[in-house]
Amino acid sequence: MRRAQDGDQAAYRVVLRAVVPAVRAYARRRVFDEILVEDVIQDTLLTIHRLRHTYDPARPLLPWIAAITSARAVDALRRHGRSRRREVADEVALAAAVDMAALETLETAGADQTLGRLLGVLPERQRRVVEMVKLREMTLDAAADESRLSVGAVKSLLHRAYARLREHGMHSNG
Amino acid sequence: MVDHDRLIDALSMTAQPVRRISPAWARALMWMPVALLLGYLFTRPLHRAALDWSAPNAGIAIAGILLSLALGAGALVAAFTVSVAGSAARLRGGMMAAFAAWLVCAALAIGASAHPAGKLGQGSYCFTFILVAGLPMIGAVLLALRRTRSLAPLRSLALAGGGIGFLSFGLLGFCHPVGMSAVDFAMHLAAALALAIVTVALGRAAVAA
Repeated sequence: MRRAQDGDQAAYRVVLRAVVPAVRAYARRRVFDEILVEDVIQDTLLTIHRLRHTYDPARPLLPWIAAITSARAVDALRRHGRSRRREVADEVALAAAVDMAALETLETAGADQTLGRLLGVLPERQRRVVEMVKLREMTLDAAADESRLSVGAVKSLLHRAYARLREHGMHSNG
Repeated sequence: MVDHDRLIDALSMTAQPVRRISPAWARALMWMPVALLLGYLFTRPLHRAALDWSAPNAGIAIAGILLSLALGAGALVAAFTVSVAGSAARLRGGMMAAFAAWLVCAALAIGASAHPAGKLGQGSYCFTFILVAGLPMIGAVLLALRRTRSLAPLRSLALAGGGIGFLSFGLLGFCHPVGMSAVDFAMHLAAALALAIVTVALGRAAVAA
């Protein structure tokens, strides 16, 4: 550390790297949140840098480091406590703040996307029959008229479409 | 675990040689004359020849002045010591004994007064003198503390404020009669307390590490 105070950058780097485990151990004695511990280590390194001229080389280094770490840990806990006090855990207010229209739009868009992906696995004729009967809620007769098929053929197409979708669903979901 | 090597590399690259600080007693010895000189200069318009050095009880006043200056120096040493990380200021027995002796001197001075209790309104001169002497001293001491900054700024500043109060008492002793009333003494203490509060209020942000 004496050489670091004299401007030896390599020695300073070695010292700082060497003290990190000690700083972490000191910080963990006061702070139990690992993310906060890492913040304390960074603050401590910055403080060591700012106060390095106050270190007396005639004295042991670790008590000096421990005092800085302890002060920075207390500061971090105070900051953390203040930010937690400012946080609002009001479920009613949170529910009121949610835009339900936006939520519905998102859900609709999601459902449309899923449906489009499912219908995409069907051949053209099967897909059209499913759209008419299930999405447009047409009767089998109306669907048969529009597609110029017999009612039996429509039923057969629907049956094959369902079987394919079931098979696709089993593959997709395991 | 986060890797702090990038920060360490950045700090290392900006590390220039630094001038180590002197021991706390040496810094106090350097800054105390500066503070006293400032106090003396600022209170010059208020000076009055009130202490009769040939009076029978002048010894009490002289002892009071010396003890005030010693306690002021001790408190400044403690303030500078506390400002360095890992150094604890122990108010040793000597300081406590000096404080007790100072209280005894104050009690004797009250006893030597023609009106020991005094009356309300007394001591306004002393109050003003102590404040006028102490305020420029605060500037000097804050300048000294800024060099080291402090991880315990409240403790450092409270000790420094107390030291400034005692140094101001020392200066006041030269312009004060031997006897003083209890009300006068209370005004002395109130002024010292005000100085300590102002020191903490002004220095908290400036001195915090």
